[in-house]
Amino acid sequence: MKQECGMNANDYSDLALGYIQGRLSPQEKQQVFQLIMANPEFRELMRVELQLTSAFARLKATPPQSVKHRVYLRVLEAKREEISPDLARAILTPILNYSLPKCVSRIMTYCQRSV
Amino acid sequence: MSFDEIYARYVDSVYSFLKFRLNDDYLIEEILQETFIAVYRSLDRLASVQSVKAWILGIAHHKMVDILRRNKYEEVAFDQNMLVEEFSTDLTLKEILSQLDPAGATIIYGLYVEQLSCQELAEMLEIPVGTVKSKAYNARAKLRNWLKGVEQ
Repeated sequence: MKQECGMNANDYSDLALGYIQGRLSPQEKQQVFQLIMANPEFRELMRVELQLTSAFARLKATPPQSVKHRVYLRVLEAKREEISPDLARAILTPILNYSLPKCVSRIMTYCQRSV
Repeated sequence: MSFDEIYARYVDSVYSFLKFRLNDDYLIEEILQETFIAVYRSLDRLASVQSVKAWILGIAHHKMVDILRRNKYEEVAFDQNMLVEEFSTDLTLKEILSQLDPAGATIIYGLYVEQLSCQELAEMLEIPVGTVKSKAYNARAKLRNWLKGVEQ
């Protein structure tokens, strides 16, 4: 294909695919219209990209409703089981302060600060 | 965006991507679950994410690679020949997909099925945009040849 400056074959394919998928800016759309009008090779590229898009659309799979629901419930369960870092700190700090010797507490405080 | 909104909007895309790469429903469900637990735990990062879909698919991709390695599956354990058969009766399409490397197949899937840009695919796979473009170029050349063969 006769290439405009700065564009390679991949860029033309991206442009054609972007047009098919409706992702182009008004300027890019204008560029596509001009290429379609002036360039038979670009028209052929558009045809190829349309065919590939239609072929690959068949690969889209939808999860069964039961799987969606089951996974969602498991994520909720994991959320419930999770303890927030603030709560963990509030529970653990007094226990550690009480149970560990004073020098260890100081070392831990120093480590926390350096972290 | 709340977690529920994210789940409702992207669960189909993640499932479809995993179904494309794997042929084990149990494993797909496990990775789907791990992915959304990770998404929930990283919700605070959402504001800095450019493409939510690419971010979530990237998490799913990395979870898949981790789980395949942890379970000592071969990384190329997915058999594209088998999985495409479920969606398409076109034998030549599955042939051409089986000739692509896993990253190339994922890039083509991302471009044509999930409508991701090269930039988004680079973020998802954590590889340079140039690598995505060159893999896309090679894969498209194979696809064009395949299409020519189908038409003749």
